[in-house]
Amino acid sequence: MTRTLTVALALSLTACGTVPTTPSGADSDLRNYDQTIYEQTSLADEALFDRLGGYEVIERFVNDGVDNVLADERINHLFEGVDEENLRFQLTEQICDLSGGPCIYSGLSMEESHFGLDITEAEFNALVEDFQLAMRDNDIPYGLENQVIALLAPMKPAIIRR
Amino acid sequence: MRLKRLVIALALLVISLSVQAQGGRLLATGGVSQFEGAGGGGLVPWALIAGYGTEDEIGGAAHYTYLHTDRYGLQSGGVKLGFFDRLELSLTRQQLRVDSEVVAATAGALVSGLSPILGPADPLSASNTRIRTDILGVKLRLFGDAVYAQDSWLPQVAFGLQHKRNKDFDDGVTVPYLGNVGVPALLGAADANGTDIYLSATKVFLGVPFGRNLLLNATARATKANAFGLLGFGRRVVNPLDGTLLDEDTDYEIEYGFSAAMFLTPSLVLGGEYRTQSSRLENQPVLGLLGAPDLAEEDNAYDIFLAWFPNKVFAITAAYVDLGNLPFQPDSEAAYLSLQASF
Repeated sequence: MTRTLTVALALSLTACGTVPTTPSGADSDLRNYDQTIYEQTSLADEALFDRLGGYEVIERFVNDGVDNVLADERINHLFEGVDEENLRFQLTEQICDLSGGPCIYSGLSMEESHFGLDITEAEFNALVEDFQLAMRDNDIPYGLENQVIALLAPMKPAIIRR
Repeated sequence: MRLKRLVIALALLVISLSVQAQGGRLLATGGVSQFEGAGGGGLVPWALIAGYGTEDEIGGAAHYTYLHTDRYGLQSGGVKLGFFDRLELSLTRQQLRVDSEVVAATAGALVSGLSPILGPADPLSASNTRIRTDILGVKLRLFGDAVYAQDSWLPQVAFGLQHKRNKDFDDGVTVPYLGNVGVPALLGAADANGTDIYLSATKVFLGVPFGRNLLLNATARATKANAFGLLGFGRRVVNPLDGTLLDEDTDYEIEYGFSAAMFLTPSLVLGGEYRTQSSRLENQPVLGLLGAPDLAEEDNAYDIFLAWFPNKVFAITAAYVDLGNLPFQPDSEAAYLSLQASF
């Protein structure tokens, strides 16, 4: 069965397991959607990954984003007992992969990694806000921040109320 | 008067809730308060549900808006609640202040038109008058996800009603020969009350264009309103001297509203809107006898606005609004300021 694995904005709580993947398209084999509207209309020559400044930049704002999340009393209870280093790694890999970088996310699908957590839309948004702040703290231009969020937004249905 | 007190009491409640707790939606995704009370831009309702409540929460907003243009000033104050990002209920009081110059000019036109027939009029001392409208709004989100579904061009679509009751339809101003009349009835409106029915489609494009977030909205509205209901609903022209019906038009017409808004920064939104009007009161035969048949002609309205969301509690919107023709003021350019508290 061809199964498109969905990728994370988020809480890859047990995202160390490897699930067999089947590539579904040229752009990415890790998303549960085809292309965002901004990707469909983009005239940019470079991938978002390169415009962001590459892996190290993503790693830096993901680390700050995870720090924000773990300090955020709205949602940090969801991360109790989570392997923090793995979370940072998987989130960096996901954004690298989604933004067109040379990474292949190998963690669990979004449905799998959030199964049983019953995450609300408000908790999902709290994480988005924590990552927006992290990108601003790392001087990611607002336009690129919006495009990162646009890549993560369509994953909401796969993450909440699981 | 009772309703005004109710709106003020509810507004204080909403403001106190707003400073205490916030809903879980992202900044600015409830829009601001449209002058008729719905969540939207300034002129046009959007398909977004007001406030910051998610699908699990109740949100809400209170607003006060003032629009000023020379001889007219429009205040709008209201409250709304958003239930589970699905249903929005709103209650709004509008009050239009009409300058004494407009009243005097209307009276002057009547005197000059009718004195050859009816003899000299009693002397008149014109004063400011007001036209109040109460608006009960309901908006139901039907389908679509404006913000998150970035993989789809399908907009968020909502169905809405705005029931309006004009409190000063046939009362409030004294004019020569006719005595105590209301401005809407005098200008030829048929009814004090009316219900607008609308469909709104809204989509937010994250990161498009120039990396900015862009909101586009289109609204179609079935309406009988004259000047948004401030001049009543429909058209019924009656000979004021003998009461015979000259003409009547109380059918719904479809009018349109369009909005575009772009986030310049995470908290600053620049936008523009356009809204068509029916202009049912133009070419009015009785006013024609007085030499001003198009006194209450309506033009399409547009605005350019800048909304600032310093946090989820408060939003401030400043706008330039062009309303076109108003009675005795053919090119009405208005300054608009709106404050909103939400939760």
